[in-house]
Amino acid sequence: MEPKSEKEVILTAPTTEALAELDQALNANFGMSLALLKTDGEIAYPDSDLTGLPEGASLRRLCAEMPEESDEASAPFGDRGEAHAVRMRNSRELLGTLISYPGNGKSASTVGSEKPRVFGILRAFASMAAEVSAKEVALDSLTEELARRYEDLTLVYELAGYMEISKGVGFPVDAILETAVEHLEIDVLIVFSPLTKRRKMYCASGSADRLGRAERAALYKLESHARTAVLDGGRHLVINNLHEERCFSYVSGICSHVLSVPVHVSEEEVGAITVVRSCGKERFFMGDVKLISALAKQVAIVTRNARLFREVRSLFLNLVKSLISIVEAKHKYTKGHSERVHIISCFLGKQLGLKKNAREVLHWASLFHDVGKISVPDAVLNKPGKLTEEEFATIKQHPVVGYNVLSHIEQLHDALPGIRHHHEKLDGSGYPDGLEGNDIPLAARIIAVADVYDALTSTRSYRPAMPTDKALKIMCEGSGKHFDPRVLQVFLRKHDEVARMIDSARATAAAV
Amino acid sequence: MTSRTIVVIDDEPHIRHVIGRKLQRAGYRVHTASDGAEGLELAREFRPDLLITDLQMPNMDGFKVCTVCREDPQMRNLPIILVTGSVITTADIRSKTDVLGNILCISKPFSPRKLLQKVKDIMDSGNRRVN
Repeated sequence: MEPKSEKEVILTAPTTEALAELDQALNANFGMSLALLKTDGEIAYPDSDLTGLPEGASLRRLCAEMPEESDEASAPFGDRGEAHAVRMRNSRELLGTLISYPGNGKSASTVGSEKPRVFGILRAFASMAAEVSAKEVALDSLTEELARRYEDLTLVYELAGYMEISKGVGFPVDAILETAVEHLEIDVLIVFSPLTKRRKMYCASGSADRLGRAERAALYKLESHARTAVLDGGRHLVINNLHEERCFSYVSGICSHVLSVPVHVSEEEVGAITVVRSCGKERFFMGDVKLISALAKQVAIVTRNARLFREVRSLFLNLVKSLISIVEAKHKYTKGHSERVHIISCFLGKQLGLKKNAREVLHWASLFHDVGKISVPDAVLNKPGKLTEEEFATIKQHPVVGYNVLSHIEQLHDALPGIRHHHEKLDGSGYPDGLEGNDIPLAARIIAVADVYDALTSTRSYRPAMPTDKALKIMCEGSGKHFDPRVLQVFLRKHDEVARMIDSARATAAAV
Repeated sequence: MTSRTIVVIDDEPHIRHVIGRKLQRAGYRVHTASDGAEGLELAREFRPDLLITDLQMPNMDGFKVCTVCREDPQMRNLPIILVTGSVITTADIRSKTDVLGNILCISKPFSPRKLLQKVKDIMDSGNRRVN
């Protein structure tokens, strides 16, 4: 909120139109002209161009020489006669000076009975202008108040938007607090996390550069101070005008008002949000307390939600892993296969620069890619020799079976294409749908690389594990035919890392 | 420099008031109207540098106002800020405003501070584009 300068008030009250009307009336009745001088001596009416002219200089001198004790004065105006001046004020401050002076080329002068009439008119105009100005000021402050409410409302809306997002994977506390700093006209916000008991500082864009190490340290000290009081008292704390208290001298020149509120996640998990405004800014009022408290509630809810989300997700993940281990238990050679394909796929996804959502899809698809093998008879899966055409047809069913079984789980919907198509080949010779090139979902193209690599380097019922070089050579030959060359290239470049991860996964699986 | 002119159309008096006064205080010449027809009349009379209109209004909605503006050769490229309610989907609005061109959508509730900044950005940009 910018402070209202006197200049602004003058511009709206009185208006140029009103002044022009008065000017005409004075001219018609008394042969006099009108001027309005601002408090700094500049000529607001008729216009500032007059300032440099001799007439302007006379007006300014007259204004400057007016006695302090009276708001009205008359003085000679060159050789034209007498000028009359009336100071115009509202209840708080001086707005300017109205001057009626003999017009150019007119020999008219106010004598006798005319002088009180001119003063009467100027006085009436000044008091009317003062009233209008007071109303303008009041209207301005109401408008500001209303605009502030709009800002608050926008903030609440944006925060509500984050609540929607927090139903997903994200943990948007950062985003919430950044939005708050932007909307609340505060300079710095420090949050003391209820879970980690760690602090983080958020600075408004204007003040980030201003704060050096020492200033930040002082603000953290102030935060500890305020937080201790808040956590002991269990309610908010406001200290305005910190410079008036000796014990806060360490933040002098850095900030002048502080507000702190508790963040209740649970009985034991209580944090705090502390905000400060720098010197020269408005102090904290009850409205700010309410808003920051609402913010703290929001942060607490999001924190609680995020934790619940993580718990549910990990419960689900463990259930999935149990399910997969049941499938793999049917078949001694594929123990740990899904887990390893999962590890390689996620690693490749990250290396390929996949976005968070795509990585989430890959996470679940790779874990579940072989779940359909539950429908393949043990005898077929464990058959040492070559499979008959019929047996191979059963095996080829597994991506579709997996797809169908999991299609009932709404949350896994996005992962289904990756599961269904992980046996497709780039040249269209794969199964079940014979998709080609980019029609094969990226998740499936990534899983294909991971899947084949792990299969080749693992012992199977019909052959022993292949040496790494031979496996890589076979895979290279499949580039562009079986595999997406881009995925394969990343895989080959990072093969050392992949091999290390797989070795340690095999070791863990063997130990279980 | 003569001050820039803005026409503000909104059927809600409090919004008209806050936008109008804030813009005036920022040095713009402002004319406000409570419905589309009146707003278009003001626009034809005062030839504004920018038009700010609400989307949902009785009689004539914001889209209609934008459409009529584009049919007028003088206002074919006039920058417009369309203040939309939160109910209507953004994709729908975008497809319509894309056709009309040079329209910036902001959703309600909006931050007056940000709106003012947007207005300033548009006025200061040489080619008078909304983005």
